[in-house]
Amino acid sequence: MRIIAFVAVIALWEYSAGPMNRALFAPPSEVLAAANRQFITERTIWAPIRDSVFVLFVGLGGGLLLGIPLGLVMGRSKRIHFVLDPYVTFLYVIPSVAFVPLLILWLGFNQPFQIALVFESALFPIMINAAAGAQNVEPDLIDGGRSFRASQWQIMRTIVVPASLPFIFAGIRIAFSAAWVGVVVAQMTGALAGLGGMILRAAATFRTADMLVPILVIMAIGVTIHALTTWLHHRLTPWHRPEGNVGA
Amino acid sequence: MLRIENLGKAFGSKGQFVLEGFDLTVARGEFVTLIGPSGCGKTTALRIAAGLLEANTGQVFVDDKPSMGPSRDKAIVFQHFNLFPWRSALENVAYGLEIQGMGRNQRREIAVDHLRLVGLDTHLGHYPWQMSGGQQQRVGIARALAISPKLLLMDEPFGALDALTRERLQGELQRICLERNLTVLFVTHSIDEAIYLSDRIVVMGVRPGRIIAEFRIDLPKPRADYNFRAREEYGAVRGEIWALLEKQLQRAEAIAS
Amino acid sequence: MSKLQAEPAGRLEPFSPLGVVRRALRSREGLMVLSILVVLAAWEAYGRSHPLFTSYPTEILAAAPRIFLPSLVPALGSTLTGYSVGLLLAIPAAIAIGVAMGRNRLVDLILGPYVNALYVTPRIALIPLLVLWFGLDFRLRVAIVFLSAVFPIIVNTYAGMKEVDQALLDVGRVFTANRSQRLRTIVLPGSLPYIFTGLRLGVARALGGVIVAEMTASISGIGRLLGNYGRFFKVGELFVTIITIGILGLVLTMGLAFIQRRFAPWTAAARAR
Repeated sequence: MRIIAFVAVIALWEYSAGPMNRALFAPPSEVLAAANRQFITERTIWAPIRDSVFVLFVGLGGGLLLGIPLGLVMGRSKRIHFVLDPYVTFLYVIPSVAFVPLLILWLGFNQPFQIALVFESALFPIMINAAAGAQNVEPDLIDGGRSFRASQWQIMRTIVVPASLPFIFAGIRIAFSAAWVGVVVAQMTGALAGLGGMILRAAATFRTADMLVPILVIMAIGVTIHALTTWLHHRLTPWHRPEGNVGA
Repeated sequence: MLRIENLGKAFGSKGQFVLEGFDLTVARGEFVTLIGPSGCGKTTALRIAAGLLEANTGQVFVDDKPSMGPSRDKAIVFQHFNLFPWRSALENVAYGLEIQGMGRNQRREIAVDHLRLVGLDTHLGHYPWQMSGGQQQRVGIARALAISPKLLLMDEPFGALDALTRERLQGELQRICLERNLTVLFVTHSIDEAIYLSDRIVVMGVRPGRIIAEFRIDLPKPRADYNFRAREEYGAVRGEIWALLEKQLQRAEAIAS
Repeated sequence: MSKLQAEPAGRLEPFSPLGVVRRALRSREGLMVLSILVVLAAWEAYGRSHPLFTSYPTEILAAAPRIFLPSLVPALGSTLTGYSVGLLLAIPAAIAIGVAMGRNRLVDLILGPYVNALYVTPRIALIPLLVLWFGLDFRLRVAIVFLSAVFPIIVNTYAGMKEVDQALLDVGRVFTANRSQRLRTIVLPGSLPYIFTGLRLGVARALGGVIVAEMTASISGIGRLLGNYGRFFKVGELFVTIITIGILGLVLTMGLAFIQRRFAPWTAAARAR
């Protein structure tokens, strides 16, 4: 059934993309030809893919490295929570694109700017989820640790971190997707690099088929990230599936 | 009133029968309790009677008419209340009438009557999350009775309540049953609850679930006075049922290991 | 012994700046205010010494009234018009599609793969395509808002329909509710918490989407304003615009939370548990 529907969509697309509106709807056959060029004969798409994925992982890695501990501490300590909460809440509701001009001023158009934007996109979702996880640890579990005279650090390591894992993984999942959006935003609004830049350059000269290839690659990477993180999430915390992710 | 013939039910790929050759009749105005260890199929039997499960074999009759699906003649009270969280007490009680297409004013009137019957006419606008477990189950009982069913099915209705609330609701259920001359099929784990409420207790065994004994409780109703449990007949029946159930529990453990 | 004694309530402390700070450190509001004051002061000091790139709170405060009427209000006006029209189209469409997918296996099979793929794709990648289709005007804004908001709402509505409590559906069956009665009285209200999650996501993503569109396609609105201030090194004005967007985001989030508490109080109670 799915296959029939898919074939029908492709056929309709091919058919309706007549010669008149080639610029509006490049037909699938042209997209395929463009893909062949970009992937195999001219190999123009590999470098942008590498650039985009590099920025994604560095920015995301930084966000997780800072966000998880900060979130956990925020969830455990009321004081730190009160101190940080106003900023986190406010910065979280601002779409990361709003920071683009500022970051460009500070860091220029290139990789540092892209990484910073991706970092910003990933940081708050993971922080908020880690904090929610640490806040939701059963008080009984902590009391159990106290009764064994565990230190604050031991309680954090042996109780809070494992008990928060479902939330942390949920946060990683959201942060991963948000970071990918951040990559595309950075590359389309400022850097004109990577896959986002390819789209814009093709669009500027109305080469619609050439534009659709990186769009489809971006989609494919998005789908892969989602599938991968969902799988990891279920695999690594099989004992618990949180209901609804905080700040999804 | 209710007649169940040769009921059989198997679950899963192995086709293990949880219920086999189950026969039961409940007369009009009678209060019958199914009691037995976990896995004896008592809840399964009740859910088949309610029309929530399909049986593999057998028939259910209400007033001699086949009644295998849900119908207006039957209502059920669930262990975990299953109130609609988005409906107030009043709207929950009116649910069955609304489904039957009754007008707003009329169903409101009937719902208020039934909330009064369970002592909650002061809580019409309360939502489930604003009520205690005992209050929620009172609403559950009112909701079932509001459609004036011929048969009331109760699936461990007090199993999720604390001991004190449980005793109070048992007393109220008995009062309502006598007031309305209800026909009830009741499932429980508690021997005391069964003796307190029932005209007849049906003891079930495990693997496959089937009836192994029946006890008629002829003690006078209402049984609210506290000396009831001190009576000789009470102790005797309790001891006999306990001995039967213990044997079934050992059997279940032997099969499991 | 004296260590264990509780402090007498309402005891008057002699006024001292240190005492005020110490007391502030004990209360939630005090800590927040203190935290904000410290950061603002540090920012002011740093910003004054590096004026070209960082601006500072007093400069931002001065810039706000300067740009509010001539620039900010018209930009917000055009952004928010497209934004609201897009949302008004997206929300009912998304709920309808989500319900159709939840109810009908065929619709689910056919639409499911596309919805899921587009849900996890950064939809801003589609902006150049939308420019080709809709041109550089109001319709572009509506289109990107629609595309950004519609998928999270579809996906969550669908999830809500699939996750409806089986026990409550049993109640409906026992009381002889038919399929459409069960949909109206059980499945839809049961999905509301999920739909609200979808709305929160959709509203936030649409705001980001419309700003990106305005920035890349350079059409009037808050996004182009941001881009221009950045290009001309007007850092104070840039901060005013970012803060305005933040306030807009807060208002939207809080407004939605208010609607949820008002019209679906049980979902808020379920969340608090």
